[in-house]
Amino acid sequence: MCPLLDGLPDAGFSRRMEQSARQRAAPWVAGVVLALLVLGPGLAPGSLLNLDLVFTPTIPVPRGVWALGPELSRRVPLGVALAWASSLFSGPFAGKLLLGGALTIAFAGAWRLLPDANLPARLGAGLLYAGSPFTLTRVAVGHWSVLAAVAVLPWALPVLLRPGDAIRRTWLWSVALGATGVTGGLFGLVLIACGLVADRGRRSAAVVAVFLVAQLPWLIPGIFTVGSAGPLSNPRHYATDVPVPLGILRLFAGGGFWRAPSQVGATGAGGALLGAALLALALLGARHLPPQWRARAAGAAVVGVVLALASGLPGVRSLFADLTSTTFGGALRDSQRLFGLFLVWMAPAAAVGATRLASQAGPALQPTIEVLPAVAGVVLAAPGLLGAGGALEPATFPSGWAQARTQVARAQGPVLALPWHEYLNLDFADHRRVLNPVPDYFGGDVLASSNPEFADSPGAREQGDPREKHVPPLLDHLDRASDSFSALGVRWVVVLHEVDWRDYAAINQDPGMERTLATPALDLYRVRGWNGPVVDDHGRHLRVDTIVQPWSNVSPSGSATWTRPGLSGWLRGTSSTRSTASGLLRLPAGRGPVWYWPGTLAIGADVVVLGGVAWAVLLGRRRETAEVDPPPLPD
Amino acid sequence: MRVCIVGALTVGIALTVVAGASYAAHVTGQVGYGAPQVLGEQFIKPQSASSSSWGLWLGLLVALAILASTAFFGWRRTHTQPG
Repeated sequence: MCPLLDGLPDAGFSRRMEQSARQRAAPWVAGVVLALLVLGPGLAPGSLLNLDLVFTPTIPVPRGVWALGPELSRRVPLGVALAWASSLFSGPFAGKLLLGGALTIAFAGAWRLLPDANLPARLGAGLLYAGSPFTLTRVAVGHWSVLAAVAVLPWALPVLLRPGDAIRRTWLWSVALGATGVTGGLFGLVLIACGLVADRGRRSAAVVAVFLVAQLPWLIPGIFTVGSAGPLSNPRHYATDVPVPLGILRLFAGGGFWRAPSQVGATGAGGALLGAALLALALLGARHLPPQWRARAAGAAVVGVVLALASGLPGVRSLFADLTSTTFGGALRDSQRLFGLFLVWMAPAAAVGATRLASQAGPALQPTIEVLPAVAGVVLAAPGLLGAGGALEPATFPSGWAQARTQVARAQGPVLALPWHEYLNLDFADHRRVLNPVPDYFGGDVLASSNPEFADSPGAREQGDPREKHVPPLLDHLDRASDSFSALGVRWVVVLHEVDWRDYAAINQDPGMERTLATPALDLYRVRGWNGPVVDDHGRHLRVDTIVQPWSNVSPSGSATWTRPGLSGWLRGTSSTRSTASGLLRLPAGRGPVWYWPGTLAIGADVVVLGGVAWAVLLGRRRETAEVDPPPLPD
Repeated sequence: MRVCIVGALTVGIALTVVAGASYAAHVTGQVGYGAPQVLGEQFIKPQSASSSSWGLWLGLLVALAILASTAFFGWRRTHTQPG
């Protein structure tokens, strides 16, 4: 008999304490085992590169922390911690720690949702949740902010579904979810809304206020970066993959990721059958979930699954596509992310459902039926074990990359990344399709394509870099493009020897380009006529001292041009800047710092949230102390 | 109803095992999202990713071990009960 399965024996306090410690440790140990099994070969030294999974040797601090584009602020605020960790250890190590930690926390959180259940049920809940094909697919494709939100969700759920009970805890868990970014914020929004509806609006003003403030660290950067993005790709490409009818059932098993080849597990008729069976088990067990949150969680689950389905189901998908084509509706693109809200209800409910089913079976069958959810969880997770379906096999950047980065670091300036593809197959990463890693690897100002190259969206630009649209026309005559590069403010051009790089060979004929590095992996070119970083209208170079990214001191001058993206929000002193015809930042005549005013809002929001967390933690400690040492009774 | 659920779970597990075995043996084709029009052979799952098939078999082994141990546990329970 497993001691964890049994009740506490009456064998003295010390043994009870020992068992209690074991019980507390069990989900964490099991979660770590699951994480190690999933990461598998990915734990070896080297970078992880697969689709959006780009863990370069050093991960740059996302500009989104200053609400500064041009890229959408998908990585804040968690990406800041990841970048700091990457400078302490290394990017790949920090990234693997994040993936493994999130899987462990997710497993322990789902386990903890069933405090009164037996071991098979808790194990089943943990496996169905953390080992779900939904979760493992997000690991494989590098959607680590979604994974982090999935990890926090089961811990936050009981509190946020009763948001009016304890505002301090509602605040702290809202911050925790908000810290993972937009997906966590959406999870929190649905939970809070369901809780408020169930509570009939009790303390709604306070709840809404603390929730909104907790989301500011990603909300403010999002507002300021999404507005400058170019035309987005057709949203139907990001729709949940739910062919009727089996696809719908596979969704319940964790399938349906919009990019079908990247889906890990939950495929075929088996996946559909498992999805149907798990749904039936969940419906059977739903009434036996903890009463404090079972009905509310069911409501949130319905919202989550409806939104996940809406992008892919005939009849409503066109409407949903229209919604996600809008500037702010774009946050709901890839709506399968919201399946997490369903999974966090279904996993424990199905596990409890199996326990109920087993209680009605003969004693010989009982243990087997009880573990069926855990077995289903293992079978569903199996394709993702030892490397998430082959996605997590470390790759080493060729030495040419480091040499190029060193040259660029010595003479900093905007870098143009060629071949001009947002996603491309990388030879040194076993030909995996990867988000162009040049921006992350080189850091700083890198001009790269943000067009996912869907056939029906040829002009898509998913980032807000005003220089980007000027690049494709130049690629047709690279033998004389250096002047245009200079006009775009480009100082360096890096040509990776990947995919169609030979199409760019004409660049060698341009006398305005100097090849400073030629390696088997890449070539690096310097634009001879580069004139920057800040030059006034008389051609004089102005002195620039950058304190932090959104704050630089520039010598007083007449109107000048800075070779950086001309985004709105920059000021010189208190005067607005403009953008040049080629998308560079145009400074008005004057003096004073050149600064990006939304950055102050973003940092202000971070300070408010961090201060609020510190205050809430201190308040909690004071209360605990007060409970341990009650004040003396009056005489 | 109960029989249906247990049956669906069992068949689903069995089908997933079979599908999983074939999944691990083949390279999945690549479509869209990137530079599809100018390249030759493309695939998202590299041919060298043999770890995925090992992981699959490991998972199936663990699942079978859990099932076998609980089946044994249930059998022993019925055969050691007094009376």
